[in-house]
Amino acid sequence: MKIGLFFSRSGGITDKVVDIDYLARHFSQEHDAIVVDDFFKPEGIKTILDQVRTNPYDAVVLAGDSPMNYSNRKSADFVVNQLEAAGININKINFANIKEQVALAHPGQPQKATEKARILVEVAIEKVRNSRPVKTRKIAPHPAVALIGATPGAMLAAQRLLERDFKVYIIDTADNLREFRNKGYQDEIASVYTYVKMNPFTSFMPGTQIDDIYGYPGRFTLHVSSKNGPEDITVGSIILANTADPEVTQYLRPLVHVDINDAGFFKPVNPDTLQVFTNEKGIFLLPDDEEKEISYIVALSDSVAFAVTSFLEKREISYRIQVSEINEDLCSGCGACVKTCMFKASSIDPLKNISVIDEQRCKGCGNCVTSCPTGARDLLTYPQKYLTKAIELLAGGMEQAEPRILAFLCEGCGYQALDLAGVTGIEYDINVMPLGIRCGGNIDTQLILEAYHHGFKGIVICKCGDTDCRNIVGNTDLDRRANLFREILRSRGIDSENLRIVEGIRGKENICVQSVQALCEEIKNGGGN
Amino acid sequence: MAKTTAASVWLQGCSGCHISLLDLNEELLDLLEVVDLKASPIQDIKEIPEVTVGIIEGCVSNSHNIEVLKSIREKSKILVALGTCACFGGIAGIRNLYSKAEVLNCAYQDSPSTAEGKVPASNSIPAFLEDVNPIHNYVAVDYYIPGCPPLPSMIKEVLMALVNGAEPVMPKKSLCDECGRSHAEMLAPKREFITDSVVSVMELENIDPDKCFLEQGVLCMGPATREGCHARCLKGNMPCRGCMGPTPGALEQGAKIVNALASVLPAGGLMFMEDIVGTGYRYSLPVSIVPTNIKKGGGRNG
Repeated sequence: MKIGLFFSRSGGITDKVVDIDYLARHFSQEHDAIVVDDFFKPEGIKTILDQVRTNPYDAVVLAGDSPMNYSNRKSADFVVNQLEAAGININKINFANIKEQVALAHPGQPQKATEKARILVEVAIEKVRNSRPVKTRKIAPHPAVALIGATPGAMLAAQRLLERDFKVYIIDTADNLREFRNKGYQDEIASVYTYVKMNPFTSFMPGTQIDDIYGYPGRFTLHVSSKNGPEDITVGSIILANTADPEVTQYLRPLVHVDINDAGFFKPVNPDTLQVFTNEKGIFLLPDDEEKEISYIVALSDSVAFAVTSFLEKREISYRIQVSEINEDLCSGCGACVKTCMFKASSIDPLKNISVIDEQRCKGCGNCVTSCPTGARDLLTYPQKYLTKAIELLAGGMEQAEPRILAFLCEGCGYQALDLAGVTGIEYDINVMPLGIRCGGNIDTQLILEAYHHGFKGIVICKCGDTDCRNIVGNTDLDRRANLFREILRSRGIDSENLRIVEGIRGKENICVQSVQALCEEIKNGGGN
Repeated sequence: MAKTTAASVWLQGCSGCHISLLDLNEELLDLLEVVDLKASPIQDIKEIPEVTVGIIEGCVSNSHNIEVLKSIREKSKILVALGTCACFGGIAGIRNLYSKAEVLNCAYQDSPSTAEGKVPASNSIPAFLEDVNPIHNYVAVDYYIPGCPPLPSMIKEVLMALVNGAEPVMPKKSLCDECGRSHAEMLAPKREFITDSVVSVMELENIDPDKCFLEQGVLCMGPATREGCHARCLKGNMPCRGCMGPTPGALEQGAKIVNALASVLPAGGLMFMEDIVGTGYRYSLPVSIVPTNIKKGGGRNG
């Protein structure tokens, strides 16, 4: 496999600690290794694209910024989109986080930091080697929008969308439209209510419960029911407008798969620059707060309407099918995946007696992969073979001078917590080896055993808080498995106190970093095996 | 056509796999039409000549086992591991949780039936190894026939394939595939546990012969165990204990059953935790990822 390996000096930040030129020389023996100043500056992107266009790479590894930086910052996915346009499958593009999780975290130890960076690059290469290409569906967007919550903001957004000729469904469990508490504000937008009410493309659905949502961004199906009975509606996009009610939020979470924060409210991708965007393509947020200034609500309504419009006015939408896959030779139709799946995406084909996945429901959380007793399931993006190999690489051989700790970091919280530690300058032990995973539910007992087998002295599994797991039950299932795998460890004489399961960030506290640091110190002071 | 030559030995085992071979009954005659069994414990011939197929029953537990194993490997073109002990270490492998001294003391001194026992020590007794190992930890193995004991028909199928120069085909799926009991609860896309409680099989007043054991609240290793045994235990109305070992897609059996059942059975933990090794690793501890107690000689197993 021909891999293009690019290193970023991150404008001098990573360079200051990690010896980038040494790494480039080291990896150039096996791969094309090219150093650029910054992946997010035009010169850097140009260099990468020129290189990719002139060389037929099967995969690209970007060693520099955290992968989170490509998704949480406005337009930062540009470089990734360009690589995809140049013909590299998204699963063959990977990141080695040598800035946030190495250079920024260990500024005082350049030599060890360079060694750690080398290992993280090895792991990143291993991932593109093992990941299977993701298929893409091309979806013709359906020109209709569902607004969930008949709030003033929703009415304002509806008005904009109707102007652009979209069909609009306004769905609420209540029987009436909601209004600003401030009478003056409400008077100011009374004409908007009239416009929306009188528009033939508006469909009001009061007293309506949403029972199910599935489909693709650009073409979702909502199964709803009201006193008139059940009904299916098709929309291209969904706007979550009734977001101030934690109960409604909790109810909608498994249906829309949008992250919530630790206060229980839907979380935008970036509260400053991407306030109406969610981690799910095609699903948008409209903060609902009757106490807020009218100008703020109007601005956000315009913003969300514009975001939806630019999304739905594309000729076609590419959607990556990030599902788990099934090896039909191994699947025995036992049903463990069916019982484990929160999203009703798994079922057993009665004729073939093997598991099938509904790609319109699967969120790719990996809980079924863990639960599958025959190893017939695997995630396209995080294959078990990769995770097993990554653990071996991170352990770096049995004979380490200092005890190493493995940190499993879930995409939803843990990974961000360790990144944040780097950014905010909280140093932690350099022997903490990070491994990004999809979700706590994707922690296979086999992986924990592999980690001890390869010489790790401690493990921290850093996942979301108990109430805000991105995949709803990833935490629950991790906890249910935890007592059992601790017992397996005990049976082998491994102190299961050295396995910690913690949250990422709670309020202002970075629990993840505090825990890895505490465990490191305990082990150094004589704990462990 | 010249007969294919074969020889067999048993290492640390119970002879059950050889008995299973004999259980072919009249079919044994068909097999002996094409196979010339030059030496085996059945004939009590210990001198192994050069053969095409070498067959090993049992795991490696002492220095004599290693010697016999290496010698038959040298003399055989194709080596077959017969039965769970040879393939995975088997029941005897559970002693890997204890140190050699603990095991010997328990057997010769501390057992309730022993008075004034003494651990035998003599140069003429083969050295007892610290850990039990499957045979592939010492020699290259070409084919595996798992099972405690393996089905007679499976032994015959593998040997006949080798006689005919064909590749023996082993099943890859788990026992659920051939079990045949109904498991409607397991197939319902609901997150609820499939039963209210977990019981041992003798606690059931009536064992439903047609319903999945998990759905009756009884732990069954079937989901994480390779098929090919024709679900004999299940047909005898007993749950699977996992003797066929893990499926080829899993790294180990114990971890996989924990992963699978934690969200299927209520407090599934309790039943497991009472005897997690006896449940998940009864036959396969020596091939698990951490195959031995790493703190031998002390701690709670001391």
